[in-house]
Amino acid sequence: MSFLSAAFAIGAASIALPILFHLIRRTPKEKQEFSSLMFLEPSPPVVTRRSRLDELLLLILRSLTLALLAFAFMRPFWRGNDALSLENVRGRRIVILVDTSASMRRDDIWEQAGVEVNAVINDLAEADSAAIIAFDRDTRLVADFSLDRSNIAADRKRLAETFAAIKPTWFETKFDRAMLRAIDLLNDADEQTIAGARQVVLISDLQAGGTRDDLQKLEWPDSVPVDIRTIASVKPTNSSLQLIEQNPGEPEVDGVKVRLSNSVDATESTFAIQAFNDEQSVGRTSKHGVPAGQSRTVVFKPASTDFDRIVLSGDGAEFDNTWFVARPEPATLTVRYWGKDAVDDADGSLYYFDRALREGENRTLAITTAEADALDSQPFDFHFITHAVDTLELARLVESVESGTNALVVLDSIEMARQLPGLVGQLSEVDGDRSENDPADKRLADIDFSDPLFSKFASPRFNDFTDVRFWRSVAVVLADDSNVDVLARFDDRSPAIWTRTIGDGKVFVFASGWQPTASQLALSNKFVPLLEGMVSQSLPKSLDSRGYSVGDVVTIQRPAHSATATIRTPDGAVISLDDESAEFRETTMPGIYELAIDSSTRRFAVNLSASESQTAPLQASDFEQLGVRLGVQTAQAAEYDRLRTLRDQELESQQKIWKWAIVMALAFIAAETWLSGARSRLISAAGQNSPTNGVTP
Amino acid sequence: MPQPPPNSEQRASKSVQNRLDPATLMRIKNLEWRAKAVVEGFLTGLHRSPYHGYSAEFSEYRQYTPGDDPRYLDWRLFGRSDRYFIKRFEEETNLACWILLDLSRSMGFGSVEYSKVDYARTVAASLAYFLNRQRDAVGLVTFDERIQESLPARFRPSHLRRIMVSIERSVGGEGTDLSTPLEQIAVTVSQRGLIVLISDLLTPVEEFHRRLGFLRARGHEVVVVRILDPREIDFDFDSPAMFRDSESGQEIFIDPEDAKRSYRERFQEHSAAVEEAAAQLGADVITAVTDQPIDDLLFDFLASRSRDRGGRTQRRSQTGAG
Repeated sequence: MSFLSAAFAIGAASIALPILFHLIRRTPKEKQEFSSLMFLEPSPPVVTRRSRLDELLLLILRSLTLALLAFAFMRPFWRGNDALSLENVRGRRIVILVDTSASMRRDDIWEQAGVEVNAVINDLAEADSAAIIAFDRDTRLVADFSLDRSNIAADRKRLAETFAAIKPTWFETKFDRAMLRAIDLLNDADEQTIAGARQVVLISDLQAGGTRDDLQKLEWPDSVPVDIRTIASVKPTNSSLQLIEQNPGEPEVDGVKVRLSNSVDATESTFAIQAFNDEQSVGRTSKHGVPAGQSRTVVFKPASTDFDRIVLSGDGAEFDNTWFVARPEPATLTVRYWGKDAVDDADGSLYYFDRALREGENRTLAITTAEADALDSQPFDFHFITHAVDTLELARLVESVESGTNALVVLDSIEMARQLPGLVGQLSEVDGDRSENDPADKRLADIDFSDPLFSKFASPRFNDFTDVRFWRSVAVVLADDSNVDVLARFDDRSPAIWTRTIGDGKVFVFASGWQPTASQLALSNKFVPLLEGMVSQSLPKSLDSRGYSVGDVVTIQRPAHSATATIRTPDGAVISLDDESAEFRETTMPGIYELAIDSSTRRFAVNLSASESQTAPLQASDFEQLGVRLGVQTAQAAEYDRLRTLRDQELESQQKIWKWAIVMALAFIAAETWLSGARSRLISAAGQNSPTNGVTP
Repeated sequence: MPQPPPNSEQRASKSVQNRLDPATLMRIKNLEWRAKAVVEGFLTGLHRSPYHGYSAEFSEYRQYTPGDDPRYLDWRLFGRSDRYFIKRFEEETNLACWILLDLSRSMGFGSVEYSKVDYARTVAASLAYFLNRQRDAVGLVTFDERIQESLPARFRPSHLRRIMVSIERSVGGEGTDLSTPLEQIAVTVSQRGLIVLISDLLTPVEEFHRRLGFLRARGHEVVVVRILDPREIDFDFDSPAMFRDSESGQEIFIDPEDAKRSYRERFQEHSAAVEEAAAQLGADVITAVTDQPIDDLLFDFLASRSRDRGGRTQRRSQTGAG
């Protein structure tokens, strides 16, 4: 027979207590009245010589009652042949997710992570198996489940050695991707019949910048608990910085704008920033205060513009304290002008075109009005057309656009529109032009802000074009053409700006000029950004002057005739680019990268993702709210105990032996009550005749 | 020569002849009758025994002591008893006697068929009856921790009745306090006389000694009749029990096997101290065990009186008996 609550056997031991106390009677029930105790001292308690058990039958009944009650509380049951063996209980399959993102580089966090990983590995029992996935923005299966379960010590060693070779990276954190990968790995293991209770162990600093939204897309399986082991930094304060680019339309500042951010759990709030060129400081330190959990945008004025990094100091984590800056190399924009405007004629389009693009950022403008034949010998970056061209010129232009050179056509008249269908598209209907004196001047409406040309104006601060009036325009109706995209219309629904893709190039078409005689566009603050947008799409892909984040793909446009192209990484490694490669994916660390194409060199900056600077830790409940089930899977031995306990409880609830014990106890109580009463009556009847002793007067 | 007081052999001889069993005596419910039975039986025994030297008329005679006037020798009595007795006249018998009866709770103990207090009442009543028969004035004070009743010493038939009633009526009290009644008597009783203290004396000896001293200082003669139960002397109990002090209510566990020896030693020490204290003050202590006939006590009482008178100056001048 077995018991669910064997501890209640202590209750049965209580039967012995009254008997024991009877034998070692410290306060015998006999009382003796005596005249005076002045000659007496208390005697020590001894086992009385005449210790005997009276009323044996009553004692037996009472003892049996107590024993039965204790027996009932012990919840007895018969196990029989239904035994659970250890072999029936499976071990665990554990996926260890190790966070290798940039925030794990702080002070001794990585060492702590190592301790946790090794603790999980050492806790593996004979029936368990484990795999290790290192994750940041991507996941890497560094150690798979071992199919050989015969040697757990060897498996532990394999896992430990594999982990020892892992190092934290500079990438940001994607918790959701890692955890979904873990689920997939466990499911794959099921298919390979590696049985076991499933468990995910997440070892991370749980920095708040890590993504986890995709966890909502999955219904977390109940059979996979997640054991989250948070690694905490001893220095919680983490401040970061970010250079802010000038937005179009914003007033110019004297210096550079830097956004300083401080972590939510910060204990420090005063920081200093300083510019450096390589390792040399440029100017003095600038101090700023940023409360915990807040950001401040400050204007920082280095002593000179010749700096490639801004360094922050004053917090406890240095991994995100450097913002790298790479000034783009100046480029020359070569434009072939097709028109009759003089560059200094304020009534013509070229005047404003030249002035808008002349002083570009790290760019020079070269406008050429060479003959058409020159197209063969000299490549141009852009065609600017303000007048009709002859057939030959049109053919050459179309060919040039097809090869990848973009063009801008400003329709000045209906004739011009009719002569350039190859560039501007088929026009199904052409209306007369509007004179300047037409009171119904037009404004732009229905602008496609998703197009790259207008995307910079998408912000509500910049998307108002209603103050730009057009009083000379060419009203057309475009035929259906899949290569034509209307980017803006006038308020009378006629197209104002559209593009037509021809081969590898694109033609931008303006239905109205921008000079004051045609519209207010050249005089508006939208004009320069519009033109810059067109030429930026037309220039060879240049490196983003704002820099890149770690892990970003850098698109590199190599000239067809270039012989060699290499990139030097911040740690000094030189990576050769294939002839075909147009994307560089090795942005694995922050710093200044140098792109060398033949003899020319350009630099670009790669910085840490801002999300990695949000180092305040998440809570485990943040994952629970997304449906993740938290918990620890029991080891085989513990699982065996649990299952056996469940089975025992089931058996006991079926057999209910305790009820019979209670019934018997009640029966004994009834018998004892009757017998005790009968004995009391007998004794009291006999006691009336006994002599008295110690009777007081 | 005057006969010495009866010794233990004589006493034993008398007990063989006609001693009254206390248990039987106690069955006499009426206290006065009981006392009368004791005294008459005692006096009758005196007649029969050739040794005791006393007669029924003893109340009119007293034993000769050196220094007495031989003219008052009763020669007829000498012829009968071979002992010298002096006739005592009525005036000589006017002894004032106070009986102090302790009715505290400790007196309520008894291991025989009756308690010490029942025995003590009988002793007190018997003494009162006896003294009254001798034409002595008898008074009574009953007490526990305070005086319950107090009757002056008188020689009147009705007074004896009052004493009997008082003895019988008084109920058992709480604690024992000898000092208060003895002190009060010492203050209120101006006439010198005989003080008979009937108590178990289960109190500290020092207190007893001091209060007794007051009485002796006043010139009283003191006889202490100590009433004890047989088990108070030998502590002959069988089984361990919680022993409860009848006065304080305190309970302690006692194993008689273990405690008997030390009890007896301490009891004997206390008894010796009591007798020492009494002897220092010239008082007699008569120990009366409740399983012993009261006659013995009367013998001892008389013997005690005889010793006292032998060594003291006569209170009254002796006159010849007619």
